[in-house]
Amino acid sequence: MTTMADPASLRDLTGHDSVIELDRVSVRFHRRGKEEFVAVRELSFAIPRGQIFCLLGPNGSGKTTTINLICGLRKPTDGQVRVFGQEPHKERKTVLRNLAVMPQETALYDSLNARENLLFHGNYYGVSGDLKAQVGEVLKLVQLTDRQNDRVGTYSGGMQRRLTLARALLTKPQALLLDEPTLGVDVQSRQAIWDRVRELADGGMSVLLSTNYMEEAETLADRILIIDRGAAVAEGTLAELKAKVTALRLVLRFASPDVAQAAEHAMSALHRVTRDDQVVTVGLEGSPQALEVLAALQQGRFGAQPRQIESFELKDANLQDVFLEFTGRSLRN
Amino acid sequence: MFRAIRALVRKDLVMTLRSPVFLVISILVPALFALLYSLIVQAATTVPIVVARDSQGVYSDQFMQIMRSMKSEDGKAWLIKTEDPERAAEMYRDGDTIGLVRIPAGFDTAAAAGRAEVNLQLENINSDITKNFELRIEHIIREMSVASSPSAAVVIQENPRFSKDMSFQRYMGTGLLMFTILYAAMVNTGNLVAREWEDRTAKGIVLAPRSFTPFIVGKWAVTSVQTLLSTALVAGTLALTLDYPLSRLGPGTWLPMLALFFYGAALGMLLGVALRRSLPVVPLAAVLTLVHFLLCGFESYLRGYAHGGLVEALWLSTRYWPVASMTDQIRAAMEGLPLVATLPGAAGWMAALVAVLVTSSVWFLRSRLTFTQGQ
Repeated sequence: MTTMADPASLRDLTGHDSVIELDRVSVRFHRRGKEEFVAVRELSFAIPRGQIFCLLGPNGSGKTTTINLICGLRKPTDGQVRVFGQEPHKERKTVLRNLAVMPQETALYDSLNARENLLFHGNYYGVSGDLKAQVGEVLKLVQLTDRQNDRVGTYSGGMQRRLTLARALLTKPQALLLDEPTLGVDVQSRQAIWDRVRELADGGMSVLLSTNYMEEAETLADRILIIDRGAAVAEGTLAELKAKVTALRLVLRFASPDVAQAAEHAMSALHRVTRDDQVVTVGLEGSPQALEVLAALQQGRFGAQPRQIESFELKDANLQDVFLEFTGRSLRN
Repeated sequence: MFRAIRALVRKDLVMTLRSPVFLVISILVPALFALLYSLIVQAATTVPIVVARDSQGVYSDQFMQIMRSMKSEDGKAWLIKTEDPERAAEMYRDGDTIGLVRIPAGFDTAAAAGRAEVNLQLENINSDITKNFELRIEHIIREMSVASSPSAAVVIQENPRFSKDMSFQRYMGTGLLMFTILYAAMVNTGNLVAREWEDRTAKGIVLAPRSFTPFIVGKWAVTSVQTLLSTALVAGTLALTLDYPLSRLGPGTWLPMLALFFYGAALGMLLGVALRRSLPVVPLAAVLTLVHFLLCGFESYLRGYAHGGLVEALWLSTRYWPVASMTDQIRAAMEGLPLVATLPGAAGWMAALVAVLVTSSVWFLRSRLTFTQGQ
């Protein structure tokens, strides 16, 4: 039984341009005695070969449910999911032969060492060829060769995540689903994982990255889908997403939250004003407007005296600004 | 598929060997239970007692002779530590024995006149074992009456479950063996399955491009090794404590034992899949196994109390619960007796139960594979 389809056979198998496609997919849960809960609402996207596609959303936004749909663990209530042209919940085995998942949980056996974990995984998944050599290769790829004989229970969180990535890669998948791959991981391990993922995508692997780390999405993603409460709220490249919001911001730091609040109130007529404690951010339509606002502040027209402004800076919107603009600032459960 | 099964078996065996707690729970617990229970059973077979013989004569001689010769399949009924009245009284007073039979001074004269009366003193909590002393003494008096007047004897017609009387030690030994097979199969399968969720590794198993067959077969294969170890350990213990005849566990006992294993493993799989935590699996498996042991493995004890109500209903239910027939078949095969009458029906029931339990497990497994919000 082969676990790796070469690109040619994959094209034959799918006949589609996209490796993963969701077409107006919804997932609804009926909970006894409670209202219907919609985990995913009319979600559509497509991931072509070699692309890193990022699902960015707050906790409980439906990211993991979407991943479960793609790997066939859940059937959509409405709409259609296609992976390699197949419906995963109907053709689970076929889909899983070419798809690997790096789940949110590390899913490793603590009392086995790295090598034993990978050998078990390879044998259970039916990896063909010289498995021991392939285990050596993926261990090298994630830089765990030196610790391969140590029990996984002694590994740091970052090492465990790298080993989980190695395990996913052992089957040589055509598509990879990464569910929060750098959750609780140190900077060095995070960078190592990012480097490997980028190399894999450059080699033609399609990657679905689910994360709520802005930096991760900014660094890795070719396209980003912001998802909130199960529904897509914005999609595009980083540049396209930034273009959808006010790109230039004036960030003002006031002497106290009270002054900041008064200034926020006084500036409410401007395009977009938000406040976080004693920092007020003003969305600008262009740099000339920055000068106008600063001049007005200098004249004390925005509820604060010039001496009450501690600092100001002009900055471009980053993904976090985009994300907060689309998903709001309220806390999620 | 066999490669996946082999991988799963190897992985689980290595993990088991590296987890001493797991070894204790799955292998040593049934051995300790069997050891304790088999020692208790031994204490109830040959009863140590003292006799204060204050009367000498034909009738008291006859009483002593019957007392000395009383025996069952398990051995002599009494171990008479002394017949000296003073020594007997002293031993009883000092707590060296829990029972004293006093043959009073006028016993022989009274017995000649047709009124034999002995005195039994007991450290009694009215339990079944001490009541048994009373029954045994009454038995001696009855034997004496039968000897003097055979026509007055009560004729007892027994309807034995087995065509030949069986040693209680062997009866109990087989019950304990049944307990071990069920417990080990249930706990090991339950834990092996639940552990995949506990270690948060179930998703890795489920996302393999395979059916559930290697998972189920692999888990059962590991369980079979662990159960074999437990059973061997318990059988050895029983051989030491109950003189349990291991050589009689021939091929005739293998099929019913295998059926018990499958039943236990299927129940364990259902527990593991439904609970997904090993902590509740262990006590629940222990309780379920004890219930089976008391209802089906020690049915003769239950029968003595089944005078109506729920107990009688429970006892009657054992006729239809195939575990009882399977256990009895092991006993029958050990004694070289013919198949127990209820075996063919019980075999069908057992197969159906295992099928239902496994199907339910797979259904549970499928319905719990959503892993929403991680696991």
